[in-house]
Amino acid sequence: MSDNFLEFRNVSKSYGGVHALEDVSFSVPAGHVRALLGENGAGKSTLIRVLAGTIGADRGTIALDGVERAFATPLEALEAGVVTIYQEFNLVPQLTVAENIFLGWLPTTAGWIDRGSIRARASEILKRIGATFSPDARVGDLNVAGQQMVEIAKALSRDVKVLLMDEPTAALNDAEIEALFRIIRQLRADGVSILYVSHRMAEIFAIADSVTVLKDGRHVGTEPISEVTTESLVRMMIGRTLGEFYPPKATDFGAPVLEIGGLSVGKALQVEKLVLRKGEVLGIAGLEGQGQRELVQAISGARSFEADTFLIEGAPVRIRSIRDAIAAGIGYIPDDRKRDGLALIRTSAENLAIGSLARRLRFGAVVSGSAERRFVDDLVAALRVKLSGPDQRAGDLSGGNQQKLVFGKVLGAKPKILVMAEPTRGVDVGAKREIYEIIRELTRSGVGVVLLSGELPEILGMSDRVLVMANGRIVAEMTDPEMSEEAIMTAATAEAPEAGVMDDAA
Amino acid sequence: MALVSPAASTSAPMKMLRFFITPSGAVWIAIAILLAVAALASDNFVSGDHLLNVARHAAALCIATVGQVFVIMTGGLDLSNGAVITLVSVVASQLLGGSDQYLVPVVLLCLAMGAAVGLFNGLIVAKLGIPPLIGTLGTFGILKGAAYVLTGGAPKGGIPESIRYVGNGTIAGFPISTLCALAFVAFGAFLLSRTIFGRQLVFLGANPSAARLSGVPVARIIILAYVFSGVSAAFAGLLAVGYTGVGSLSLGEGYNLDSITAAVIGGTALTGGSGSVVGGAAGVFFLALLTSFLRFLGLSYSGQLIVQGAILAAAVILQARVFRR
Repeated sequence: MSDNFLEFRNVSKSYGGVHALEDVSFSVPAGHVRALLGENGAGKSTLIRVLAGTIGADRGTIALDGVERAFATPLEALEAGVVTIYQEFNLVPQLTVAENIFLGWLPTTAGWIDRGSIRARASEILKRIGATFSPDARVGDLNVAGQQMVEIAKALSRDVKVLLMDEPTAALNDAEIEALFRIIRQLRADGVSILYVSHRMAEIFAIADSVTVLKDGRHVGTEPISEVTTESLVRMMIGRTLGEFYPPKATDFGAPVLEIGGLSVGKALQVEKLVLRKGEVLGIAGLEGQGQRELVQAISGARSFEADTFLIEGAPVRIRSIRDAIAAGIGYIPDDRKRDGLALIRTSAENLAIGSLARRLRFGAVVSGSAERRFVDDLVAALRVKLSGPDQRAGDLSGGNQQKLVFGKVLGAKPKILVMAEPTRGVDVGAKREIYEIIRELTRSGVGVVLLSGELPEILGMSDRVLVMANGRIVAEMTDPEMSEEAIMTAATAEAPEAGVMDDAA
Repeated sequence: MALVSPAASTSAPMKMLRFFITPSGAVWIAIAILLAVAALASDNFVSGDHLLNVARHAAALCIATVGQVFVIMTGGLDLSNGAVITLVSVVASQLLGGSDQYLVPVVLLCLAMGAAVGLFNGLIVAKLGIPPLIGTLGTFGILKGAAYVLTGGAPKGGIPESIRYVGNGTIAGFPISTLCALAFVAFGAFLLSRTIFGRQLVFLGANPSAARLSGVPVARIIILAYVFSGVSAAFAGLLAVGYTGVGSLSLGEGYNLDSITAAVIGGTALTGGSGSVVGGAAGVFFLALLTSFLRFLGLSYSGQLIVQGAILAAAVILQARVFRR
């Protein structure tokens, strides 16, 4: 194998007049982990698609081990050993783990699917990556982390030479990320060239040997990891320094805006007491699947629950549905914006207005066109959503702008309490910073925020107070001097059983 | 990737041009092409009289299609509307017996029957989670059977002059039924695009989960869509029986599939959340024009069915391939 196993040679691709990739050249040695960095729109996705064979380049070539290759279809790329794990999974929820791993090339004996061999080989791969679920589990019953592992197992079931991973840790907790890194290191030792796309700096420093930065479709630079810092990478990505990444925290808080006592969701969640003050960001941390989702879904009315007391601004309220919660002043930003946040085929304006039509924008049974236009314009301006116009389809926006629409939709209802799950998932560095600013602007105006995030730096950077959950309970509460990654992880793992990969609540 | 361009300035002609390459715009091009071809084939096909006649034939289907568009926009289907039309025709015929004596109560009863059928459809779809295809097919069977039971297989009675006038008469040369249909299309278009009910309906069709989390009363809106379709069908039934003048067990035949075809040709996506009432009406006019033209060319009924089926398939493929990315 050569030193430059995978080479991009002057690869260019444009859509209409827009250059998605312009003359990009760099190479990745065998047995090497290369991080690929860049803001959304920098050309990472296009580069991945060209390598994976889903689109063709306009000019330039890709070489594997010195041989020029042009993959006309994804299958050709797969057959050449180039395997891609996308951010959005390509799994069939109704089939078992083993069937998904071998989907497309199920081993057969005389035309019959050889179930025994599928199970045995799947078990072996699952063991290799440290998965605890059975090859017979239905993929739809696994949580996001489990499904991610199935995707990795799928890649490993092939003779992989180049592995592309697009934001592979977006849905994983720290323990699972560590497990993933073990697998990546093992593959590197086996001589695989790995192209690793991530927005998370800490991870890049932990796993990558070197880093390539793209900006506006061009190759800005490739550096060994020892030669760069977070600062210098951010500067390469956005062409300027970000300064302090997280906005300053709150210094004083108002009266409690939310007080809950004796909250439970079946056996998945038992919380004795939870208090959120005005102007406070309350972080919810813990290993994956310890009741955090149940907690935020219960508070926001998306899941039924029992509670002894549920007070908003000191007054008891009864929340039995999302509609009750919205009426009581609770806004909810779900973690999967494509599934639960936006109607991607509808316009940005329609998405922004949907939650407020019946409450703020009505003129009898009719929607007031002028009120709606003003409402939409105000939100677009306040959140700095980048649009060609209010009629632009939500699905045509970048991840960061889509997330701003989700925020706008919820903020339009003027909530007193904002519950958010993974608010910056799949959002680029610049938009992330803007979303943090938005959250802090809200708290300054007295909104109380509940922030569920699997990213510890985000929890630490944004929270005024952190609740650590394990096994469906709150096991620790910490504020700024004592809160740190170590303290949170210690609390999260002290009482928790082994990390639950199976999500029994489905 | 779209970036900032304050107050996207698109000129009116450009907007119009763009409209014609959308799913709801394409049907107008199809109508224009069909008219052009027909004009080449015959001197008197594309005449005011003939086109008005086509529009009169299409009135009942047009009204049923408005309701169908609402249901399809939620991601559902209403296969029962034709059976409502049949039932309304025989009930009106039997209860009125050709006299105007009980006109108002019977008309109201017919519309209420349509609403009740829609309520039933809506409840089994939205509350019991039965797939709309199966649920409304079941309703279709029940209603068809009920019409046979009520008439003993042979509809009696008759339709009074008043309803026949609405179904058959003209005002200043315009068929009254066509005017009714146009008014209903305008009403449906307003309901869908300007009212809170309509906007919530469109959004939930595009993404039910996001709609629920945005506080849209999803089940209630879906039920109302089926109720609206049921009432539309009842109204269509009154117009249709006013045209034929006698209740018939086969009057509503084909309306379910025709209304779905028209909606799809008019740009309404079967996946929900995207479409237009006016487009659906244009789809009806296109179908009626096509049927009339094929008949003019001497094509048999079976031949017409084949062409119509092929056009439905083409419309769906066009939507999936060209208009979606």
